[in-house]
Amino acid sequence: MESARMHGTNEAAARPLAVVGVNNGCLIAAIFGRNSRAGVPFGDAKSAGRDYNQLAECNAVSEPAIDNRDGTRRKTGISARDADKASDAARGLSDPARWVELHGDAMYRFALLRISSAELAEDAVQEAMLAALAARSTFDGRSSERTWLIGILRYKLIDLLRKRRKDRERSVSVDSNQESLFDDGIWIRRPDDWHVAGSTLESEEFQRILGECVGALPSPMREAFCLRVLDDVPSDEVCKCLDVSSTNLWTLVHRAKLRLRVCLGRRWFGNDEERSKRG
Amino acid sequence: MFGKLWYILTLRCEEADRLRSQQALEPLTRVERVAMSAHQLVCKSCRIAANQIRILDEAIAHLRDESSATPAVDAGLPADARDRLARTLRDAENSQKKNE
Repeated sequence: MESARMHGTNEAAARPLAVVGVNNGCLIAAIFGRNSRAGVPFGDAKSAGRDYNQLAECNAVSEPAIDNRDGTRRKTGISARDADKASDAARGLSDPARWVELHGDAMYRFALLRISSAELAEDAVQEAMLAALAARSTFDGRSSERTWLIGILRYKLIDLLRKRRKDRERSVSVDSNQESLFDDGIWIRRPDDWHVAGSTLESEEFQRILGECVGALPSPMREAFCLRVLDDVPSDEVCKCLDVSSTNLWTLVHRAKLRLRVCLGRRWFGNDEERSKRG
Repeated sequence: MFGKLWYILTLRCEEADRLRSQQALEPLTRVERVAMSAHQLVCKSCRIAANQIRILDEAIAHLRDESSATPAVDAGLPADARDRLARTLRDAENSQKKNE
């Protein structure tokens, strides 16, 4: 998320129509020359400031499009589409037609872990890819293409959760029917002592079970946990998004983590014999 | 002053556990830190629970790292959604080019 913010991804994603126009900044700078501001048709300070770098990138991948000595334009023989693709490739961006094939599964899994509905996860992936397509000129290659796309998806998911929350009743109940581990604030039974060997926590099997435990969290807890803990969204933003008070947020997060501990205790740490088999 | 001392002396397991969970994400106040540490000194169950929270936080960190290609969710984009998405992207790209 940090990288997405640093690279202006969110801003771009938030106003996709505005950035569609500067998509060909590279091409425009190449056609109208380094010193011409006439080539920046949208009056966008950011795109105007970028055209030197963009030109350098363009020159690295295609022949110059102008003869500056007499100021006349000449045809280069490259199409706008080719120049666009060359510019994208120079920044480490693949052809958008391949995004589904390259990142579709990873993005879908990312979304599905955070929202329970497969349909909503598909919608979020689609919206994120469309926003990325419109904003691809903002991609500067400092992060990987997937990190950039996931950053956009993360914001789409937050928007989606916010909308969904608005559609529901305003107050979130934190008193779900959770089987309590405490009686009057004291442990009913002593928690089990967990032992972790080597790289257990990184193992695919453990991570899959942890993912399933996260997936089994009930709605407000899961959203609070995913936003605050997994995605490190600041507390005040999560409170706004879920429409809960700060105290309720921590109650939700704490209960989510308690449930995860119970779930992992049952499914991973619970059986000594099974644990020793797993090493 | 008396209120803080009372909070430290009467902190219960549930609240101590909540503070321990919260600690990884937000700094606690000095009184909360002292109360939590004092409680753990005398409560074995909470020391064990604190170890569980430490392990869980570590596991979550791995889950976070792996988020972009997480094996935590055993699913891929369904074939029909994949086709629809590819088509939508292609159409959007074409209309974008027409507008330029």
